[in-house]
Amino acid sequence: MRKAILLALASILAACGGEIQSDSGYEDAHAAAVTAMDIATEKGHAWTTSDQLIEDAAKAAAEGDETLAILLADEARVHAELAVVQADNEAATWHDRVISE
Amino acid sequence: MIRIKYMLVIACGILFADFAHADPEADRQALVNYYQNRFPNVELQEYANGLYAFDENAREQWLEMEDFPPYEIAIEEGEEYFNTPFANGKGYADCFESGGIGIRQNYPHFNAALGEVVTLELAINQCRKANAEEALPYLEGELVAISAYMSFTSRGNMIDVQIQDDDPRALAAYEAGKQFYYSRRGQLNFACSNCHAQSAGSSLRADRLSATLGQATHWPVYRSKWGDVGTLHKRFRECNEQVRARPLEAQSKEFRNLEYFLSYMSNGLELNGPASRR
Repeated sequence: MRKAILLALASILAACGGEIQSDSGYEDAHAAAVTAMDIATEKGHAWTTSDQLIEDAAKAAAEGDETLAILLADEARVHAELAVVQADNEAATWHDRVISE
Repeated sequence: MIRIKYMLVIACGILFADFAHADPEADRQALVNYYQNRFPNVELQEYANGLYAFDENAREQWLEMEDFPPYEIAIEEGEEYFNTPFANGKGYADCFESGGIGIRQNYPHFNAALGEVVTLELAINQCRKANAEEALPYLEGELVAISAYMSFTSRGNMIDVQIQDDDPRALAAYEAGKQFYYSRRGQLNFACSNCHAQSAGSSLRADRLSATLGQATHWPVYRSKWGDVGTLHKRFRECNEQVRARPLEAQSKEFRNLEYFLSYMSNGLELNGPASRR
């Protein structure tokens, strides 16, 4: 059931612009996620969802479920990439939100 | 040598040029006007009471709770810790002006020598380190109790955060805190201002949202949800987690800058900590 939900979610994320790397191995997916998460952290905009997903991915990998592990790592990466987009967008637009009158 | 100095001046000018237009007092006045227009029946000093400025029912419950304040134990413990000498015979009173009594309004401030914002909690640990004592954890226990005691001795004093005109780094720290407050973060894509400026006074589940004004007046706080007394930075972390942003460390530079901005916004309001909140 969880796999079905994740597959559906992966499809949605892919449709929203996130590139899913389900054809590569878990190690690659994990490394890509960590790189994206490091960039989000550097920008001070990391999401807790990425942290949880990468933890779940590691757990799935340890249990031998590589398909699930890759899906979760990919999702962690997409969340981190969205966090980076958010960080860049906010750096350019936060001033618009300031109460100034 | 003169050339190097000249280049440094130019470099600093470029680095801080973005902040040249910043005007903290205009920001504060704009926020005061905003809330006074939105809530014409709420007196300015009432904002120090957070959501209880808006919610009459919650205010009644809060006033009843204040008959036997749940933070009282923290004040008593804090006083004891405060007056317990360090191994070298000195104490906290030796680190702060006026013996550390009634001085919370002096924090946070921009320390020119360090080039950073110094909060009261940071100063407590600086005091310990200067006296060869180990730093205390920032989120619970002894340091929070000491902070509660020092707040208690400062009740009624007016917040009057200064941002030095002659030090562009102070203005940069203020601007960084302001940027944090107005920037969306986390998966839920919320800025602090979304809840506490745009939606202040509105209901969020069973709670009413407090306003930006007054958010820095009453710390540390006994929060029923925590079942404990905690600092402003603990609340910052909780807010981050609520919008699914990875929280920063308590007393991180970013959070100290945020406290600097928030405290400046509360200039002119009375300190009333420690306090209790839902």
